[in-house]
Amino acid sequence: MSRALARTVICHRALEPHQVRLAALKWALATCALTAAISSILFACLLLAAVRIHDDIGLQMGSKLQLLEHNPQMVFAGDSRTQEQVDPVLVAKLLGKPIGYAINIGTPGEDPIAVLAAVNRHLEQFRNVDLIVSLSPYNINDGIKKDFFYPSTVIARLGLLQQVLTFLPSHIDTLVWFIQDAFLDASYQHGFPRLRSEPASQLGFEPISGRIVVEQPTPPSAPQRYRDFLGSLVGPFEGHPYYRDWQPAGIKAHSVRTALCALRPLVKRLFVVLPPWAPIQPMAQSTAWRDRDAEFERIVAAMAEECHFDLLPIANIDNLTVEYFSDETHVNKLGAAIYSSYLLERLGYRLGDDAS
Amino acid sequence: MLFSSYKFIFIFLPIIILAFALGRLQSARAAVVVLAIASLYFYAAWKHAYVFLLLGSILLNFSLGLLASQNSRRRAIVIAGVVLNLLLLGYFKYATFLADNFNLLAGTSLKFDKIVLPIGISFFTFQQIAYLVDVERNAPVERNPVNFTLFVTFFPHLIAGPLVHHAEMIPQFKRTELKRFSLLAARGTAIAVAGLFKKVVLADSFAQFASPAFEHVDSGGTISSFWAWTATLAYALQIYFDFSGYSDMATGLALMFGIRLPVNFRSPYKARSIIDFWRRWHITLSRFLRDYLYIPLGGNRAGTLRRYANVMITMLLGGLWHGASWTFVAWGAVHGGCLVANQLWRGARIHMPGLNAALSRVPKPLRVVTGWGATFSVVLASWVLFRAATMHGALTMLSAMLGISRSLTMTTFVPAASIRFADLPWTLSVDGYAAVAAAAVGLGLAITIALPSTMDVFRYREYRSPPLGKRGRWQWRPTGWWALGVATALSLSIFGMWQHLEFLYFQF
Repeated sequence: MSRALARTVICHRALEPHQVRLAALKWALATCALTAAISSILFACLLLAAVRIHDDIGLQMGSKLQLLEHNPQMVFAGDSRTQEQVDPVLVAKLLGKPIGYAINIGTPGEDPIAVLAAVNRHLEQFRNVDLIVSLSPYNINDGIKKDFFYPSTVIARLGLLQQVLTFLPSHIDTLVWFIQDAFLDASYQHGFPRLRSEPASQLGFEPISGRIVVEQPTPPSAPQRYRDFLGSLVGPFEGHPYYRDWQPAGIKAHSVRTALCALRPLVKRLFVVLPPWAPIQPMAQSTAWRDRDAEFERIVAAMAEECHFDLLPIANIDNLTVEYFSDETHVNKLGAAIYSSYLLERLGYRLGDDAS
Repeated sequence: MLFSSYKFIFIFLPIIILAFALGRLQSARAAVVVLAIASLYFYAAWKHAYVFLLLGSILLNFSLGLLASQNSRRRAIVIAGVVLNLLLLGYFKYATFLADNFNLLAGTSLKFDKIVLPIGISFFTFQQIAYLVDVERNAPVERNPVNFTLFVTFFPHLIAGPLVHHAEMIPQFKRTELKRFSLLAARGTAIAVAGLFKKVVLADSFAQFASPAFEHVDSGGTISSFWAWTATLAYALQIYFDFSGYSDMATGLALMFGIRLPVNFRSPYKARSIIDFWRRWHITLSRFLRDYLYIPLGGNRAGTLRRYANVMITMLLGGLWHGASWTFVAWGAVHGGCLVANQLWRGARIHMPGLNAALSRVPKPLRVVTGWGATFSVVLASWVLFRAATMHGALTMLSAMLGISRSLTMTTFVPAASIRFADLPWTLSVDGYAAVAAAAVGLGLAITIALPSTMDVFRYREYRSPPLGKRGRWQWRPTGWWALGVATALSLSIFGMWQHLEFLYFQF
């Protein structure tokens, strides 16, 4: 092998032009082939390392878990539709409870497996907590493979071969994101950073200003990566990342069901919320979209029955009109107050009193 | 579009290589047209609107060249062309700087906030100024608009040089036959990969040791002597590998299309005098400044004092060419002053035989080390001025390097202690981080001082330069081992590209 490798393609003796051409071509092809081989091996090594160092509790959620110092009785968890929509300060105020009674540990793309990891790591603090987790269709849709919509918790549970078969070649960026996320989280092995002061004062609530523009729904100052992907996709549901290539019976759904079943006995009460779409076309009127929403709700309802948690599907809220949304899936800062109040009512809390 | 981006390497470049090969099957002209269109697309990929500015500049200079060649008032036309080019450059690059300084002096509030500097404007403007000046000096005028467009826009050099000369580019576009093209392309690939490796693996890695420290002192913080030295050395290595990497990529990419660009970089940190340094660093800019500024100013023909004044003017303007900031002017002043000092020293050695005799008694290794040390120290100190965003930051850094730093307060620089490669962070203790930084800087310096230049390794020669001598055993040839080495470098670079850092010279 080494002798073959070392063999000189162009020797010292003078070569004919066609021999030079052939030798150069062979060299270029050999370089390309070797590059492909070395890159593949390096990538596989990085994937294996990432799986090894991956932490289900990511950097953002890890920082937010410091809010447990408040000894909250209500914890709102889940994806950006919790992070940006539930105001725990307002919730406490409406219940007549002190600040810190409720906290928000939602982060973009967060799924129930991450929440389960957080609860397992802080079992005592969660034992008497009402846990409210938001769930979105992409959480159980194996068809959407883009980063943020394919949780790193699930990727970490796929074997190397399955990772490759699932994401290569067209979704290699999701695997790169997974590797980078894993290394970033691992770099905080000595403790997650303290929360910045503003989210801390809001107990994890990170509202988004701006309003949806239906003709051009992407908010102009969209700050985060997942927002580049959302918002501009109001159209047939087949194109929306929540329902694209709808496959609700795969590993994502299995992981969500397993996590929710495991969560239920660890907390006082477990609610799963399905937040509403903005009341715009086609979500509000399209029959196909409605049917798909109904199917999603049926799947989660089956999980609720199996795992004994309370399901709160919210199709719409009367006074939560379109101007209270920042895009088709998220309410804005003003809408968050209406959404938080409504959610509290649906959870069975009477304002100013704890129903339990 | 960055050279060090997946879009460029895996989409743009293969398509252009294929289109160029198909074009060559038709005719040499077709291949040139392919390259011209590709280069305009390459520029438009940055900001669509600015490609019209580039085309306008090309049209203006091409037309003025033609007009000057057929007109008795050639000198006036060329002067008008040079003024128009400088106005264009001045508006986009220096309007904000001039307004800020005017505001400071006059207490006014002129604003040019919305000017976006067109990428590569310094390069394509200077190249066309050189063309017009040469037309005035009776150089042959180019009558083919495609050739002229490709001379200005050829994508390997368009954004950050080398500053090419029309006489070394346009004749290459007119060749009807390319000899040993496959071998040139293979060599070009290897050189381009070496450049990519220097940029994304070496330069971007050194950036992490330099940038936080400079940002800290620029924002008013202080820094310890150790971190001042480490950060400055790291920046010296970052800019070395960044610029040398870009130049190698440009050279290699051009060679893939059978075009030989001028060499821009020859191991400058091996220089034993500041004059030697400027024969090795950004060679094509030095050549331009010499031919189109220093010599027209009178060069060394108008007496000693005038000669030194010309050197200072050339270097001050050379500093300002890099960016509209007083720190760049100061950088130019330091180099200008050192060039004058170097020339004085040389003069003293010629005119004072006693001094020369005394020096010749000093052992040669000691003379070499002293010359190298003095040169590198000056270059290093000047990089502080070049990198710092504020004069205050530069002075803080230089003071700390001299060990006369102000009292170390609460705002003393403490590194984040997280090593990053391919955007993958790894946290260390502060001591561990300091050890890694020092080792990396030491290794980087050893590479720049001890290893041969890329151009030597790959036996690259410029257009119309004589064939090179016998090949050394360490020099490139298309063998299996070289394929393995290049493939390994390319693979590491592909991962290094996960973090997106621009080439430093893009801002100029």
